[in-house]
Amino acid sequence: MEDVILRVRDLHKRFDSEEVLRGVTFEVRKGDVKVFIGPSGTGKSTLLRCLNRLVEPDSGQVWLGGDEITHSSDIDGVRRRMGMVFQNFCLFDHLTALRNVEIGLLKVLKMPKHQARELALSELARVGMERFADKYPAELSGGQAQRVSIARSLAMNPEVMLFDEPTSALDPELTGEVLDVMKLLASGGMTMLVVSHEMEFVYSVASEVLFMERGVIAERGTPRLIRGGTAPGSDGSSDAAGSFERTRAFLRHINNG
Amino acid sequence: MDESVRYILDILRGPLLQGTLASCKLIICSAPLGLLTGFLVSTGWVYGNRAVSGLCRAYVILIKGTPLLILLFVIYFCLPSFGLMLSPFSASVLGFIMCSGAYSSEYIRGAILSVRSDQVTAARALGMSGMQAIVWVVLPQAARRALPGCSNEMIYLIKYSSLAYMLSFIELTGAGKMAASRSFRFTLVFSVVGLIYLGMVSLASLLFLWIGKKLAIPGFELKRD
Amino acid sequence: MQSALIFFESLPNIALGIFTTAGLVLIALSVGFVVGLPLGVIQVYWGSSFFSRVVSVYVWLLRGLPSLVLLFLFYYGVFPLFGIDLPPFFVGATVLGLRSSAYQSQIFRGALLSIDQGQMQAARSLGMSRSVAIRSVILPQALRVSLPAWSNEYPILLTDSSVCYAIGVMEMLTRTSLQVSRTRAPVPLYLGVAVIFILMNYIGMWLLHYVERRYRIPGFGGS
Repeated sequence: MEDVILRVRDLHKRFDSEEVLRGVTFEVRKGDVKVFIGPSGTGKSTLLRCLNRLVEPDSGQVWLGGDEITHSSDIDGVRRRMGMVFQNFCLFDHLTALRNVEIGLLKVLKMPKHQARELALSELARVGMERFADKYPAELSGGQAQRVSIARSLAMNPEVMLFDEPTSALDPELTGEVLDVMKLLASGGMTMLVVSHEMEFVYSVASEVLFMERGVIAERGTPRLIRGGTAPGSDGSSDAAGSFERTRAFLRHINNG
Repeated sequence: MDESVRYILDILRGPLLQGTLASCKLIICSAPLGLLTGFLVSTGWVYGNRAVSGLCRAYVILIKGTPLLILLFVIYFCLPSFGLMLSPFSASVLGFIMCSGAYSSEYIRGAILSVRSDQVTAARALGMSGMQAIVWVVLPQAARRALPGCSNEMIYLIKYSSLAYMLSFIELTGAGKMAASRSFRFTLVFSVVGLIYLGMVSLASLLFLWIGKKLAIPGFELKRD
Repeated sequence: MQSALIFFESLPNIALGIFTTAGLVLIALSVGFVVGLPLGVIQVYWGSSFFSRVVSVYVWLLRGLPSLVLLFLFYYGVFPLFGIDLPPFFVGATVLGLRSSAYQSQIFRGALLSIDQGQMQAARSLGMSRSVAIRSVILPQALRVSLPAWSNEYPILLTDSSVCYAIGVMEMLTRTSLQVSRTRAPVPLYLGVAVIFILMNYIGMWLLHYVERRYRIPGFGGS
């Protein structure tokens, strides 16, 4: 089990009267691309936020590498090992694209200025945004802003990247450029946890699809299994269970809607 | 008429010039520290624990409720009873700092609260500590939004710097009063003094407009919570 | 203990100043309203006229000058020049009022501008003249809109009023200073008078909030 990079066990979270996570357990190996799908309000975003403790889980454990992080006192240190990309980009409004990527390097990693600049520029180039280095967030399209925000996280050299519905705030014609960047990352071996309903993306890069419903992982399996309708288990890559009835019903629903 | 012009030129070169310089000294010493106080107080109010936040709140309420002139009298006449004797100049500057700090903190606090919460979330997700997120993300954004209000406060400061005369520090208003008392040309002298204040106020407005332009970020003003 | 004693001994004398201070504030608020409202109306509804330009200059002058300078200018200069011999109290109240009128005119201007254009058109379509429409349709709405901002003039004038000390108006600070020179006890007296000001501030604000709630129109002007 050397290559397990993230292990999540029995995660619970309750907001007021509503139990959003009701015992979520899974493991992520290096290079995995796990995609969470499911109806809204089933705890997918909360799950990602519990992993880097932007939301504190009520109970359960998370291990990153070999470290139990649910009770780690150095939460800032944990967060810098996980990149996070938000639905609404969350670029720092007062900084240019370049300075957005630099600021974590300078203030969190305490990198020297010239080195930070160099790295930031190369990360911007990686997402195809080097020409926009001096633009402010308000001057970028949604797709461009999201690519910068991906570069901002990548620059920190994270062990895992968390994507919280990275394309759902974008106009349909802008999702492609963001998904292309994400595909590039996946093929480069980046470990990724993604909340997304972009099924074309899911089918092409996901190593496993996890269907969440009412705070638990209801069904899970490889994209081939979910799409193919062959019996679970024959694929061998996952402990898939059930017949994917609910997953398929959900996918039919979003395709019609 | 000719004689009046000569008189004006005389006092402009003499006491009014001295007075204007003294006023500038008051303003230049108070303004930056007043703004700094405003930043500290508003940050303490918004982010401090209960004790710090309560203290900052009490400070603002007390200072805003007290006339500045009384604040100056308290500093100048009461502090010596506690062993702290300040010159009229230092007492005035301290009073101005406390006053402009309290008033500008209101603008800065509003600006801090207007920074969208996802900005802090994103900063924390990068691994910044709470303090780093405040210093590098929240305050730079808040500063830009607080600028118009704070500029206004600094322009008020120029005007109320005249109160230092009540502690017998001879600045522009005091210099005018003394010159006028000698010549009995009150209307003339105070009109000139008034014009000098108007000039200082206009200059400061231009300066702040310029700073605002320098700090402007395309599209930033539109993005608020 | 000694301090408290001195304060309470001087209290009756200082308390007389409360009436003077309150008088200054009330007169100044009224003068400011009576002068400021028409100025605001002129700026909005006769925007390009000569009067409007005069109003702009008036506002710029009164807002740009320190109150102390205005006070000296009128008390020692302008009033004597025109042979007007007023007691310091009225000079102070007038100057504070004129200054407030400049600020109030801008409050009313903002409020008038915030009233929907359609209100004027509807009033004119009923056959009202422009001035009747302003008086009976626009102003009643604008005054309610301006009340929160207008309420702010009270604490501003209250704290400003102490400047009248400089021309010897017998308001609270002047009386306190006289007591201080008699008793040589600045600490209890100045701190005490600061507390009185803060209390007056809060009582006044509380009253104004009460008025605001009282005259609110359901569904009009937000919260």
